[in-house]
Amino acid sequence: MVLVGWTVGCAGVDTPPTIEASAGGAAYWPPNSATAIDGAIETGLDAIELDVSLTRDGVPVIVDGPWITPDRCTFATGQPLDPEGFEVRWATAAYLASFVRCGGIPDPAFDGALVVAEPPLTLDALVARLVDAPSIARVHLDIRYAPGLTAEPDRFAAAVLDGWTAVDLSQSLTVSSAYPEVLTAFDAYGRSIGRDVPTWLAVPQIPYGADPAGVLAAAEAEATVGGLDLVSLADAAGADGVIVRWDVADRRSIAAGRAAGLEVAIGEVDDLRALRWWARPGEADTVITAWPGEVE
Amino acid sequence: MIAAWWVALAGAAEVHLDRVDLLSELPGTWLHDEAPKLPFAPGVAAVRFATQITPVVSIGAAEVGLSVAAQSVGVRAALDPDHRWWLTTSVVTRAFLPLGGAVGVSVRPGPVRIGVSAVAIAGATWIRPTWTRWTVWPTIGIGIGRDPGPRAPWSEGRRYSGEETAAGRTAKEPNE
Repeated sequence: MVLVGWTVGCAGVDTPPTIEASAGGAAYWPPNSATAIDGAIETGLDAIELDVSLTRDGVPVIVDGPWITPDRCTFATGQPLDPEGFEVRWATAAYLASFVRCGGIPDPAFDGALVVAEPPLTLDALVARLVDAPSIARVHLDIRYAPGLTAEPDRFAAAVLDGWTAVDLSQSLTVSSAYPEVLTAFDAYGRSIGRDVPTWLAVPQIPYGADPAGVLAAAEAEATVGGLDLVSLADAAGADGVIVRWDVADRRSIAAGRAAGLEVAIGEVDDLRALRWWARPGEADTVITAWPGEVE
Repeated sequence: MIAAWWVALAGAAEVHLDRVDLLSELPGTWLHDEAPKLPFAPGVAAVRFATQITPVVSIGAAEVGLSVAAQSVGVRAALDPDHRWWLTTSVVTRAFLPLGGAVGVSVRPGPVRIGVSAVAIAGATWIRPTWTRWTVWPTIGIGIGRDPGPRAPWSEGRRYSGEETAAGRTAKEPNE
């Protein structure tokens, strides 16, 4: 008991992490949807994480990834999309609003989540909702940039930051990406408009189309021999923090990152037992989960 | 220089596999950090368990532990005449980059070794070799290997123990 107490005492400052609602709280509401934002506001969540992609006409939309996929979205008529879906960069915002509905297909990962078909939410619509949402202190936008599949990072940075700063919001903004060039672009554009935008690097980088299990295994092997150094990766990207996948996160590298002044977030903790583990005080600065309401 | 020293030491002393630490004290984080994750992340916890299993080779009073997660070079001394209690100090490395050190006490009532150590490790990596921030934590180790006590057939202490020998007679001190 003494040994355990000592170990815990050495683990870090025992402050509870900020709990971010992944995709607005995907376990309760359709992910990245207006319903999710409204639900998060009504239930008084502190922080939300949303995914951002960019349309052909440069409008930021709250969509998870470069594709509109048939497992989440349909045509507005209810007709299913083609099996491959389509790339967001080929659609205009008006097209998405008129012809696409997402959230109307149940997500097997979250049986109890509300199923509501809605047009993809734009950043402007998100910002408008946040004006009257004092309970939400932080909005975290994960930029779904993918080389060759989406707009370039500087277009993302200009569109997102212009949209965010168009209204005077009380919420702080944090931007994340697995790609350092995205964070660099947001840093540069933020400075050009007089805004300091905190950026987080998502680790490990899982390219679209890659086998996540293989990437995670490689990351685990690299971390075991000390080759995956969060501080060095964040420094190289100019990031203020890192998001580490919960299933490959380890306390030693997290402690090293926090000791170096990085904000360390644990990503996509959608397993409730894992959530209870990572949400303990002192483990991390932020925990991103679809189940924010399950944390005491 | 160090290599030459080790070669000389190895030449001067018997080299043998002393034990295999199934739960290693170095780095010693598995029990506290990974074991609780077994119910929800069994794959990662199992991999991390496997990578911390450490064969330990002894070379006289020195011992070398090699696992994927950590490597160590240390010296040990018996704390009692029966060679049941031991004091060990080690230098700890990861990917052969020195990270810190450990000091511990172990008991070996037979082929099982149970040890406790205090480990001090810096967050250095080959990519960022800095030793500015240190963490100290207690660790527990469990290993299986040779019985170092006087009854062990390979023990030098057997001749002096006064116990029954393999030949069935009572051993005497050599000068008797």
